[in-house]
Amino acid sequence: MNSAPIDVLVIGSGPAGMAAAIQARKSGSERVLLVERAEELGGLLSQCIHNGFGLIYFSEDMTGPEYGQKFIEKVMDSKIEVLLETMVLRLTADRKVTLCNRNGVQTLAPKSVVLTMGCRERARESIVISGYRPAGIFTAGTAQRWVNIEGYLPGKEIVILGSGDVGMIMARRLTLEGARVKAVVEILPYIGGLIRNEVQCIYDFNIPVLLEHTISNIHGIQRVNGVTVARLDQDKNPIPGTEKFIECDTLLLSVGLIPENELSFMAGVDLDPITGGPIVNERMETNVSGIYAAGNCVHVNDLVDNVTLEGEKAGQNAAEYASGKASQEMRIKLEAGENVRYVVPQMITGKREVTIRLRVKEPGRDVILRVGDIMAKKLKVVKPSEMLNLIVSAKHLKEIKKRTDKLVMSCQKES
Amino acid sequence: MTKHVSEIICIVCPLACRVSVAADDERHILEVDGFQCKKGKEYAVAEYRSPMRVLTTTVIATKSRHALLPVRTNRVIPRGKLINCMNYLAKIKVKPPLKAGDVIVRNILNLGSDIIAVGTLLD
Repeated sequence: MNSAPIDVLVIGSGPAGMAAAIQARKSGSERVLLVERAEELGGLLSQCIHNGFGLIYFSEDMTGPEYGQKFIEKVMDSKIEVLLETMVLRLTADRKVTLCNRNGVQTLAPKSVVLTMGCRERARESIVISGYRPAGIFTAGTAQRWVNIEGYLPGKEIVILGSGDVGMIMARRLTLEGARVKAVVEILPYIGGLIRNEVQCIYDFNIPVLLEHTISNIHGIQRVNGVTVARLDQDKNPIPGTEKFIECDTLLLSVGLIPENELSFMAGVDLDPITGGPIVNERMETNVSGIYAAGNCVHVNDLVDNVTLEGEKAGQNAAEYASGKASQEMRIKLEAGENVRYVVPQMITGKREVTIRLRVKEPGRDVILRVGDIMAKKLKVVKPSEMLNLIVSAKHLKEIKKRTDKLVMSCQKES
Repeated sequence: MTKHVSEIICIVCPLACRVSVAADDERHILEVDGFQCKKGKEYAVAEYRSPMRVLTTTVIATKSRHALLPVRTNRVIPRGKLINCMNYLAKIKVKPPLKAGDVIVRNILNLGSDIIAVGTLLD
């Protein structure tokens, strides 16, 4: 390896990390190092063989592997240094990065760091389901890897808990591969993922959906042989007498994703209790100077295209920091108000145009999305599963009054 | 003559309009209602006449470090033919080297669509 100091070190080579590394090189960084713990670049894209990727970024409908390949080629062409099968063990606030791979352990001191570790799935242990602990209980993502990469079918008669996108996509995939999906069980009164998945994964194959239901018991000693489903009351407690037994040999859990931030935490990066990811400003910089973050480790996105865009922004700003440009003061806090679950970025300068991403708490129709008292936008429909992108122009930002230090975002019915 | 009404959920945007398509016994469309834009109307009519889908799946790889090769149709095919294509593809085996875009099955089941690789297959 070259002895010049590393300008930008990127942790994780999924779509956010690849975009960050490519953009850092484009923005003038000489040495960009991309660190990946798996055997190849691309993160989870290789197991997401369904289409729907790239509609925004490339205006093209691509599969996960195709979308990933475009960026893998760019990484190869842009003289980015890549370390595969390498785990980052430690990150400090002064940007000392300790790596471990088959060559041993080493500590590097890059000028800036981009955190793009993505997210992981919630497992059975993070939700409460009583019953035995037999074989046959998988997260939807594990099942996806088995079916799409390794060539195994996890079971023949399947119940899926959670109607998020991964759960619905696996319902279709398993049906196509000859398994029978007996039910998708959802706690909420509506399906949790994108509308195209609801139609093309669930309705196309007549998969039964049980809304406002949960799994109250798992049966089977060696292997799952069934689950008990029950209707929920308004407080989300099972209603006695509504229990129903469904015979199955496999239970898939699609019950949410958790941003991976052990390293961020170690470095003293402040995390947002709602997103579970770093609090970032409009430059995707965390509270620790020189440490940037992007993608699903900041907040769980529904479209890869947005992850790529965020990664590019983090990569560009990390490169600027590495070249000696100082961090900027972020004076104004964006706060989640009425019917807003979270806002990213959480801090802005208030001086230049900014793209705000947010999620609502409850679905609604004909609502007004407000950014403090400076901007209001009518929206026909909002859903927690569809992230909202809002561009706040410099013209709107001029309306910010002198001593304002926060803008409350809200999304409510017209009053 | 009886009027048959089908409800189609539009997937063009998050509005997810519920579009009703009314047709006669011969499936001639009489009226379309409930959409909020031109694209929505077009989608509902096309979806009523013949729902078309992209199929994405895998085929078995031999002589490779990979167990499977991910593939897709390069054009949309009728929704009703998805399972037929799956049954056909269950018998297909491929060997390296292959790269994204390579044709695996030409004109599958005479549907006018090729099955192409979407990933790389190495030794």
